[in-house]
Amino acid sequence: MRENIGILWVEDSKSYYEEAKEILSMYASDKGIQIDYKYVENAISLFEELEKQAQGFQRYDICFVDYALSLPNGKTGENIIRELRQKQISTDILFYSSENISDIRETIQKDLSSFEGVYVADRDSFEEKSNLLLNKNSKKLYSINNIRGILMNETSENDYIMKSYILKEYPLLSDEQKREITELIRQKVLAKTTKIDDNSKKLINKIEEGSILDANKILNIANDLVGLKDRYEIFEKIIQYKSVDSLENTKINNYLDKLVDLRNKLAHQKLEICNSCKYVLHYNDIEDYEQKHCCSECGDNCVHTENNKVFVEDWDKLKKELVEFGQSMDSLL
Amino acid sequence: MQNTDNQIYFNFSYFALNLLGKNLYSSPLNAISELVANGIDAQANNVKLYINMEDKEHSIIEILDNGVGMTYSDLANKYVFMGKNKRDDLPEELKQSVMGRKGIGKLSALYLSKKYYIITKTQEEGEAVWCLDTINPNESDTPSLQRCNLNDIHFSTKNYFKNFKSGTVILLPDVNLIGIGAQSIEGLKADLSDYFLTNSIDCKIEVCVVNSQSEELHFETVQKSIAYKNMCAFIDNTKEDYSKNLAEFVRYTKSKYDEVKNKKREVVQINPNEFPKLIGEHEFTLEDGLTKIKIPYKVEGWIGIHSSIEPKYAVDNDKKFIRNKVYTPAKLRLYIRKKLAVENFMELMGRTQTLDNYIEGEISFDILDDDRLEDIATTNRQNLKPDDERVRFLVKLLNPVLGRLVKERAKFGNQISKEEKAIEAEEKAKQEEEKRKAEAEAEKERKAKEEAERKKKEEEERRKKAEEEKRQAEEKAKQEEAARKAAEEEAKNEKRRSKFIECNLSEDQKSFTKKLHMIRINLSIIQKSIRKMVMQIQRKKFTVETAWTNLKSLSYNILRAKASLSYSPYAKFNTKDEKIEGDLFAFIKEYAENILIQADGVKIIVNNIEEQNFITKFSPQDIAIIIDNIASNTAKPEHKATELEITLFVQNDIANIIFKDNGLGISPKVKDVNELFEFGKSYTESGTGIGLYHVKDIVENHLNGEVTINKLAKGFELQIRI
Repeated sequence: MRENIGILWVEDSKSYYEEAKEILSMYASDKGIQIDYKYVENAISLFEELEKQAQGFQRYDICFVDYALSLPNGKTGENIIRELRQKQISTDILFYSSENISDIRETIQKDLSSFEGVYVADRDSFEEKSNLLLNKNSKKLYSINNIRGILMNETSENDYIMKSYILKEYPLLSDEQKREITELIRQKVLAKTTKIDDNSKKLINKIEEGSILDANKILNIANDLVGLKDRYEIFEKIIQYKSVDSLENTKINNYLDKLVDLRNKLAHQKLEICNSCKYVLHYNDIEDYEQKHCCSECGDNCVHTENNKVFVEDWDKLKKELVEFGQSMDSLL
Repeated sequence: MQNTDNQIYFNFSYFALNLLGKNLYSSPLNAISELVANGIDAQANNVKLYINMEDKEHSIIEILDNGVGMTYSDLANKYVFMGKNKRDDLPEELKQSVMGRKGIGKLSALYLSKKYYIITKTQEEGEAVWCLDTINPNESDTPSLQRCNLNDIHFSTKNYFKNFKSGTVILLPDVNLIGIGAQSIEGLKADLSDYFLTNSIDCKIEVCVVNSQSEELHFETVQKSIAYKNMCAFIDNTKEDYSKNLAEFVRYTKSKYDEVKNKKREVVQINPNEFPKLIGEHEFTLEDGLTKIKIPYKVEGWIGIHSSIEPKYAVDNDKKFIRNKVYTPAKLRLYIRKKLAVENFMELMGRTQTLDNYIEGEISFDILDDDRLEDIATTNRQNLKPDDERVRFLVKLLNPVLGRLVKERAKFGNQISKEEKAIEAEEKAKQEEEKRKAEAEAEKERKAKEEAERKKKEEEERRKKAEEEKRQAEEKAKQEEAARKAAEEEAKNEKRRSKFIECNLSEDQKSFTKKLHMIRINLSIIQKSIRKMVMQIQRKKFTVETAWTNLKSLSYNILRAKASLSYSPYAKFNTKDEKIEGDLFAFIKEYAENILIQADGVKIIVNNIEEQNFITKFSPQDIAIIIDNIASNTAKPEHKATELEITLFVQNDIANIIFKDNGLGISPKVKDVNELFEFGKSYTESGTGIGLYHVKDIVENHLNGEVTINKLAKGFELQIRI
């Protein structure tokens, strides 16, 4: 699950849903957001889904509801709104219809006034309104918990794919290619002179005697001998052998240098949002914090050292890069 | 017993005596019944039990019997001798009728009261009073009976005792009866009656309970009160013929149906000969634990199974059924020598069926107390050793009997549930019938109401129309006037006028616009597809693959718009909804016959020979696309087809739609017919290779069905199964 915004979509025309969904996904991906869609055909399923959510974890942030839907018992969008209000749904809801927007507004005017988080659109203004809701809900992705969470989540998903890819593809390589990777491992292990113990000596001896390692063996070598970056190097090598062009090595290097690095940094540090709301500040320890922490007057001319802050614009860019990298990773399996 | 030079006798103290008395009984009632048993054993034919419960914690109990009484020598040699077997000194003919054997029963008086009096009268010596007082003695002293003066002793039953020629009174002046459950004489009688086989002893047991000083003494006979008339199956092998107490029929009033409740159900009397082993001879181990001898035995008594054990229903059969917190009637009481030995032998039976709780019975098995065999009792006088060979033997003998009774009760229960189910089914059918009737009635009413409303409306309309006509006539006159003026004006000013766009729509025009709703949706999807492609190109995500996907979507939605356009003016259904529910076959037939026919130069024949229905939810646009596409293939000039036959039938819940034409059939160029379903693959000059792709896409992805093309010698055949 890389998705960070959940949308429940009720629409009786599946092809409308599919086209509109792809457009929305493109907008989302411009912003580094990934959407978890749930498509249902009728209002009964809508209530079932919302009921499930009311009893358990929150899956949906937004609901899109086709206002023209008729229910088997003759209910229409108007009734749906009333029922939703009775159930006290906290999710934002966008009603859209191919009727004129002024017509819908008129019929639900009095319901709307007492109901927060309900929006209306016709099929033409749907794009604009759905974008608006996306932006509104994506704001939560700028909270400290989410910044840390997205980084952890994305990198963990990527690590999982990297490992799975090695397990799946390595056995299919030619002996020649396997030997090259085994040799690469030997060099990596030898480079960590301080960490070499009996087990690693055995490993090196085995390789020097001409053995080729199998995929499980490779993934089971201790992290301090063959680290994360080394593993990605092996992964990259396999990608080259397979001539996969969706993942150039510059992408992988960029990912390791910038994104994984940031993950490592933010995962173990104290985070704080600067009073100007323009940066996320990170502190290594209490000393670091006491020297550099954000003061109450901190405003436009905020002075924090470069190496302990992340700009909001940078975060946008990083997030987008993360999402794109994740998508190329996902396409491998 | 004097010690001699060669013999020293054991002796024991008050302490030891109290210790013994304390542990022998589990409740005051057990101890009281032991004292009553002692009276019976003294060959009395009347034992009276008097209980004064004015102060329950310090109750007074007197037990009188008109037995033989005790002489000085009886007291000195037998009574004070703990563990003296009474039967030893009795003539053979009396031995078997004596309940007690161990000479321990007298300790029950001490269990009840730390001080008690024995007032005894014999024909030889007249009256004497003795007292055992363990209240404040030196604990290590040897206990002794002290003679008292008869005139100093007051007891309530004195007048009764006076009339006895001989006999004994045990007077217990201070008994704590707080723990005793029975509050009333009835309860006490019921409790006490369980302790004896009152029918088969030759002694009348009477009870009197006094709760306040003013009450007069009134003795009531202890008799068993057993709810025989609640039993639905019964077995009896005694000479007493207990089965005469049974009812001929029982009822099961728990049922919610009167018919079941009031039905009389015959009581089953099981012939004891079915269980010949209840009487016989068996090898038992003697008291020495080694020698085995064959001893005749007999399990005697009656056992029944209750039809219900819930008091509120059981009393409908027999008012005697009492069940409360402390008293449960449904027990299997085991008597030895007519005295209760085990309150509920079921606990030793090791049976676990629910219906076992419905069993009640009274059985004797005197072999358990045969003088030649080991004492069966445990230190607690009321229990038996469950692993004793005689107990195990009895369990073995009783199991088939209980099994038989339970079987009868199960049969009884099954019959009831069968009857209830039958009634339930009947009621359900009745309810459904009523519901159906009510619905029909409602429908009738609704129609009548509609008719009335319609008439009213018509009336109203007529009225309005008349008014309107009048108004229009006036209006017309005005308009003509206005028009004349306007014409004059126009002529003058060449005023602007609506030339291209209507200012107002007529109702017909409005409803037509509504019917075009789906077209609007399709166009908005097409618009979205275009927007999507633009975005893909802007983001460098437009590939050949995405282009194909987009083309499929565009093509699909254009076909849908076309289909909507063709049927919407004719539609009698809600064209606003993506899907409608109804008879798919009827839709196909009507569509083909009314809409398709106008477009193609081919003859369309729809066959639904058995006039079957296929009610389902479907998208009219999708179905129209399928029919349009196949028909347009048929109509292609190079196919040389003149007829398209559509056959509809349902087989095993699956709808089959077969399209067959009489044209040239599939081109020999086609190797695999499945290629015909690929998007953009066409074998004819005028085709784009799109139609059949959509047919397959709709059938498989929207209708969850399958589509196949059958190779024929002549013509083309396509089969859809949904």
